[in-house]
Amino acid sequence: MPIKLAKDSEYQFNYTGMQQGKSYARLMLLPAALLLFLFLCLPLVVSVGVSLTDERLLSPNSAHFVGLENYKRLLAVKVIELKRANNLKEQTEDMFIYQHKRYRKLRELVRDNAELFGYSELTQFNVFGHTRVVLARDVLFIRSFINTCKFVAMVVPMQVVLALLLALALRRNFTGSGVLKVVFFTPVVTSMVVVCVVWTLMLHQQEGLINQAIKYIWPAYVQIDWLNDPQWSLFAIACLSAWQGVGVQMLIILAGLQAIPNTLYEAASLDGASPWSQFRHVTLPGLRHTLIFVVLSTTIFAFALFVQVDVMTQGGPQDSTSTVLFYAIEKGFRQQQIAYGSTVCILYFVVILALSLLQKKLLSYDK
Amino acid sequence: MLRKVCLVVFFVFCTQVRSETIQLWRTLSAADEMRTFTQQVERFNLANPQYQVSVQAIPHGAYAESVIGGALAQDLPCILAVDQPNVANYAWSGLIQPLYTDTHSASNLISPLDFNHVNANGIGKYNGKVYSLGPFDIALALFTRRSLLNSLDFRIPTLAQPWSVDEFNMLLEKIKQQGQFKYILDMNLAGVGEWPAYGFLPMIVSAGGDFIERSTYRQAEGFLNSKGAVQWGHWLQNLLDNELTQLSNLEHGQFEKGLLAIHYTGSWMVDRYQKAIGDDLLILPPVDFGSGAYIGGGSWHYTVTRNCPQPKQAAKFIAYLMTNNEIAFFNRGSGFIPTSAEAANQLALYSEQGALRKLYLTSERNVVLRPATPAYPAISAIFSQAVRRIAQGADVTESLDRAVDEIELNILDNRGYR
Repeated sequence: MPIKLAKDSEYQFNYTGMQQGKSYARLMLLPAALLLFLFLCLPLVVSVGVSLTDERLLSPNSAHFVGLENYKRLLAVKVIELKRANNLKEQTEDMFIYQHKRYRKLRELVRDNAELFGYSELTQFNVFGHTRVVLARDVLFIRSFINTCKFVAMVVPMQVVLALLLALALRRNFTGSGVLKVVFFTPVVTSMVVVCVVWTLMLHQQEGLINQAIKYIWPAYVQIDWLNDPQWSLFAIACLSAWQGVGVQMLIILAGLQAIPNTLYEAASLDGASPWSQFRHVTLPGLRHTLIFVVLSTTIFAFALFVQVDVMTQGGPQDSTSTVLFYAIEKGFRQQQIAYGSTVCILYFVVILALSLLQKKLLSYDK
Repeated sequence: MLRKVCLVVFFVFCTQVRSETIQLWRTLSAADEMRTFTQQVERFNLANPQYQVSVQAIPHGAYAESVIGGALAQDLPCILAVDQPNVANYAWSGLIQPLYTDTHSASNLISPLDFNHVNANGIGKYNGKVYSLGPFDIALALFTRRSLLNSLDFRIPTLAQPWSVDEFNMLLEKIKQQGQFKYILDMNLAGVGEWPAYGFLPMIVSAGGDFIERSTYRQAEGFLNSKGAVQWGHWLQNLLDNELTQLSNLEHGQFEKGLLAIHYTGSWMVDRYQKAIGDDLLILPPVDFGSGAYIGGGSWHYTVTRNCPQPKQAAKFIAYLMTNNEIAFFNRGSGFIPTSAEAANQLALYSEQGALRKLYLTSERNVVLRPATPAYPAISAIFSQAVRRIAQGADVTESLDRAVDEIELNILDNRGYR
């Protein structure tokens, strides 16, 4: 059905002086395309090239072509089997046997076997009395990748649910709702570094506001050292990230809520639908596309976690908050191994692209 | 009158046109230090009207990145201030050129007379060549109160007889029992950047370890994970476990407020603490972990970059900064420790009877320079991470072993920094 425009807007539409030709569209596209090419495509191609060499930021040596060596080093994983040899009673130290030789430390074993050069322990597990050790050449990269995935798994549900709840609470205009919207949106426009510094103070074990508040409500609480405890550090960062970013998602969902026609709610309430079933059968389906967009964009932002880690923990404690992007900057820029840093980024780019496509497919399975 | 003004303006204009500009990059630091340095530059420019040294001060946090960016864009200034431990890396990377090679070399920019009077911590060497010179240094010390040691009836250590680590542990325990102070020892464990390497290498060297073997600079195994280094790590964890020191705390100015008993930090705090507690302040040599009390040495130096079009003139400016009179002038204004004996004698604070003579002597004699290898920036970063891991409770041996592996891998990745 053709769109019917009001008379005067039709007039405006026809007399803006714009030509609708294809060549004109191309011309208009040119600046954007040029910028994208210059600052996105070109660097991408260059980094793919650099990732196949051993280039360094500052070095008197010229770069050598090394093929896929960087990629191999990032992803190399080996599983070896060890036998425990500590069944002798007098032996207090942990001994184990690998290829008929005894070792006290896994590191001695790795240094002793040429084919294991450069590997270190990722994790170990026991199957039927045999110890299997998973070795990797770049343990920290694999840990960082797992950490990033954990972070995404924590922050995305937290942030989306929180944003949905806030949006539902603030959808009707009541006195002060505008003020509340501003309050929830303020962290978004605050510099992330400032937010991180303030939260570092709030999360301090003895003197931080958060622990003191919990202690006040629940006296038996044993104070958690949020940022220095490997079990909690990533969770603490996820909470602060969700808090900082929730305002954007809230606004998008609010806009989505406005788009649901009021008549649907009226009809539902005439049919005697409870508020819950109104939410379940009117609000949620009406918000579907908004929510898909919100989940996708939050996921992509979450994968880019860097500032919080850089300011608050530098990847610690015990590597529990090291993320892929932090690792890439650390390697590529601060340790000046630009080729290796590029490799990390290229690989990560591919992974995120694949995950996003998959997510999009799963979330919008039918029209 | 008007004619005179016009003549002066014309004259100034002419000299401006005729003089060549020599760019200099340095870090932006405290106001009195910047003022003193500006005065020196102005004096040099007046005496040498054909060259004008022009200073650009870059904030500390962005300095290393600016240098890398400048190097990649081939846009470095003629004179570059460099943190002394990074000199070897910059030299190897080809960013800077030697100031002095040997007596026969024709490419010497300065003569031995320009630096023979300078202490080891004021000269940056790599591969036997002098690349950088620095007029000042800072020193590490333990800051505490005379009244505290008197009330505990504890020995005041001297440079010849510093506290042994056992003695020091006992003291910390005593202070804790006395209960007068909320915090006992602060070592700035959460410090980032160069602090961990600067502050803790002297302790590790005193305990019998080091970062790396210091003749070929290729092996860290048996140095950073040596018995002494591991013992130091356990000592640190012990202090943390017994709450004798903290990883981080939020209160500022604890020492002045009387909340902190002992502060392990640099001589840059002397002024502030002296103003706050006056005569009660004790500045003591660091703890002896076995082979003496050491401090870190080497602060910001000046170098000439490889692409500098007027290297002779640039070197002349550096040589000017390094004369005894200028070293004395700079440190009189900034309060730092001079890097030559003659300059120290000219300064009331550091001369024979000076209040801070001890600090000068430690920086002249008991100084541990950070290893002069191009691998140093990587070593420092890897070591900082190891310290953080240990402080956060990771296994000491494992953390140091891992640091050793990472350092050796880095050296291998750079083809041995040949």
